[in-house]
Amino acid sequence: MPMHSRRQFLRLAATFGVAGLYTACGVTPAPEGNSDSNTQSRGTLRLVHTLEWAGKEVLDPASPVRFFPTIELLYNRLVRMNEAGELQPELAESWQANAAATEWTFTLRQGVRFHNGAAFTAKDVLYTLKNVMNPALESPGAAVLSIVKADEVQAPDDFTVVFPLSQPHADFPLLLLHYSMYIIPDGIGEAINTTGVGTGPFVLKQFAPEGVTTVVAHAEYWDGTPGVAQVDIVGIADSEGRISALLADQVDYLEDASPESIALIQQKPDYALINLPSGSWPVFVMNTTTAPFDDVRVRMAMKLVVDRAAMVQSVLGGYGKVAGDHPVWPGDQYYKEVPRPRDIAKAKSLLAEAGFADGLEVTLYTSDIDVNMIPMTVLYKEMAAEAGIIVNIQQESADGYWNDIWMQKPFCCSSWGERTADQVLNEVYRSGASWNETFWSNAEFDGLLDQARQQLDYAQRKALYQQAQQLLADDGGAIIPFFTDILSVAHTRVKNINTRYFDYAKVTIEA
Amino acid sequence: MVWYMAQRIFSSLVTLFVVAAIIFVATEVLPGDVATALLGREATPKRLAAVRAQLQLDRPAHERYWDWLYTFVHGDWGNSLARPQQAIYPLIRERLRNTLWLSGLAATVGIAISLVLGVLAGLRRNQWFDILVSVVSLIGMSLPEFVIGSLLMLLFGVVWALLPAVTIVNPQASFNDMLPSMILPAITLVIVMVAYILRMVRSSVIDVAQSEYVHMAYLKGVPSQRVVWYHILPNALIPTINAIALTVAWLIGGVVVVETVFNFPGIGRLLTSAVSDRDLPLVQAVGLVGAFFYIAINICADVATLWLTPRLRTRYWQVSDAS
Repeated sequence: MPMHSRRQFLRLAATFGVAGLYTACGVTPAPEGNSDSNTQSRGTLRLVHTLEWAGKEVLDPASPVRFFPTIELLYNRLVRMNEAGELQPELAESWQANAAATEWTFTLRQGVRFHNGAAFTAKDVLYTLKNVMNPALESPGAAVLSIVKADEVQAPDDFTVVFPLSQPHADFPLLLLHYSMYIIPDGIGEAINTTGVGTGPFVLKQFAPEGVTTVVAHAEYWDGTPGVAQVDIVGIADSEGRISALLADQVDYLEDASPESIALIQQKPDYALINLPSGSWPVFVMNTTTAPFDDVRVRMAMKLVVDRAAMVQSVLGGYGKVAGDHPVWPGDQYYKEVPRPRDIAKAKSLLAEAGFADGLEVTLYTSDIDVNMIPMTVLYKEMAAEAGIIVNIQQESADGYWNDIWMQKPFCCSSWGERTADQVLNEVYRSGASWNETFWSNAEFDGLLDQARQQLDYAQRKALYQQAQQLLADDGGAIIPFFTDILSVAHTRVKNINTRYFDYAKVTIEA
Repeated sequence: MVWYMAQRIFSSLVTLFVVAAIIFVATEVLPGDVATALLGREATPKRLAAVRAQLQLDRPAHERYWDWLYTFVHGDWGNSLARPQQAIYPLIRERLRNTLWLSGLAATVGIAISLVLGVLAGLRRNQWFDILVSVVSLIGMSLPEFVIGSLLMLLFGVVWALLPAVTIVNPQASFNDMLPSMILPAITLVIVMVAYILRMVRSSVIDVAQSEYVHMAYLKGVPSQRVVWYHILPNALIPTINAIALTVAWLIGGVVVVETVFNFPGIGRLLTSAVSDRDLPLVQAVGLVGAFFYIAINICADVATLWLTPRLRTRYWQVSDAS
């Protein structure tokens, strides 16, 4: 299901950023030079994908059933992220906001060609945006980019695009990192689904999501000749099957390996484990409008019983970071560290104040829909018992969990992929948001978010987002114990694949 | 004989209808529907209603069932609900072809091995060969397919790297391209199926070898080669036809697990993804195709038994004439 391929949130989906200072307002980053254009493409890189959509995958980047692992290879966006977490130009060369941050002007790169030979111009950007906003497509990108007044986007000339916004947004360029904003050629229509015509480092040769999809190096790629001559993307739905394929040397690189398989791989000298922090998080969700969770003292007591470091150790084998009950991850530029040490005595006294001196009994709904949910539920039960809270675990089928349990039961598990501070706070915690799983409604919090979006000064904006995080951590209905790391495995012959925002065009493979 | 066939075919059709109804009810009682499966967490009540209306899920279940049945028997298998614009029939035909290759390969090898080993074990009853074959086949039978499959994959795919560990070919690939990837799944299926047929053959051979006419043949001085080939085997093998048929029919469904383990693009993998998508028309069609093969193979076996056994055939005719 959409939320659970953590991988897509690692490099692309969300709009993240460690520093992202360039985006503050009106700063023009220096364009990156074309490097290594005299090298030769060599060898075949074999990737594997999870058949997330069971063969329904299409190459339209904005489609809800996009064939993500191949889309990365075929297309470019206007912007990209470098390893420092800073926004960099890709198909855009520079960008500028007006003083109110309600209108953003992007200057495009010239001389870029699509795989079919057509020149890349502003028309393609307008067409891509129109495709994302097409209601019939139901693109996940439509909500993310809803701030853009799509009908009023202008292209004054072939290499300039002006985005008017319905409200100020100081971090607007970050939104263009969304995977639906991979640029497709003007007027391509439904053909994009199977042809995959883009400006990216690789050209589609064979499209077969259930078998082997093949792309070959785009010799005239504007950002230098790709390092490998061919990439095969193999569909294997079974997670054990993917590990076997890796160990049998049928594929070279496996993203998001399960923690159980790590021990197996660590015995093999030919494989390198790549451990990257991410902003994916599971959560215990309390409905703040339902007793006993409508009492903030109960909510705080439920948070204080958790020994977060112990949970990271037992549930994740240490591959994760402790969280403090808000969803902004340590890699985000606006992250606020909220220490939340275990405090049984305080939890007990809060419960007593709230009228539960004799203890509290609650039912926690869980499911194996996310690999971490059941282990963390069991641990939570043990940890809560020490404060006199009896947690009854109710395990539900993964089928229909989001429909029948999530946002239906007062206390349940949920999980989310990485998102930027602004996106996650608005999407999941703003009053009345459709994904507001805790039903928490706090006017002060909503006000902080509004002010932050309009605040053009980076330091002040950061302070506002941090206040919002603290408020949410102290008053909200989410118990967020940790952020998970993402574990990938690569054969040692594959180079330049071991960083967070690596560029497939720069990956090489040794003979 | 003709009357018998007509009877069997009629009862098979009834069985198919019952199977269709059971599959329909089973998919209805699963939590969620195709709309919730399609939308996942993005399912807001409004979007759910829209998708349900679009897929006509808002109509009562029995109406949808009769509609589906009507078009299905008229040869229109419809479109998949979860896979946009994909007609079901070509999808199933492509996958069924692969599954038939795999199970055909496994059945051919498995039947040959189990007949040879079963006869030899039966003739050498309680000798070391018999005991060895029985113990080994029992172990093979007791292990589930995914254990055997994973073990084979580990040994032949990972440790010795002789064969592809998982299938990495397109579903439309030719038999020759598919063959290397079919060997390990086929061996897995053979190991699971051999024990069952083998034990039937063995006990049947032992039974016949103890019969009076075999003793008589020996007493008459018929050479033992001739006793085995002309008296024991023909009579011992006929009762195993049904065991073989059941095993082959099981193969059509039993490949689900094996296909998943080895990433083999057959009808089993199609079924698992259809079930998780709540893609009712696809589940129904795959289920019915499976049921059809199961019934057809059993009919073939019954007819073959009848045809090969004069005794049964005449007795059946006497009984049916009398009634």
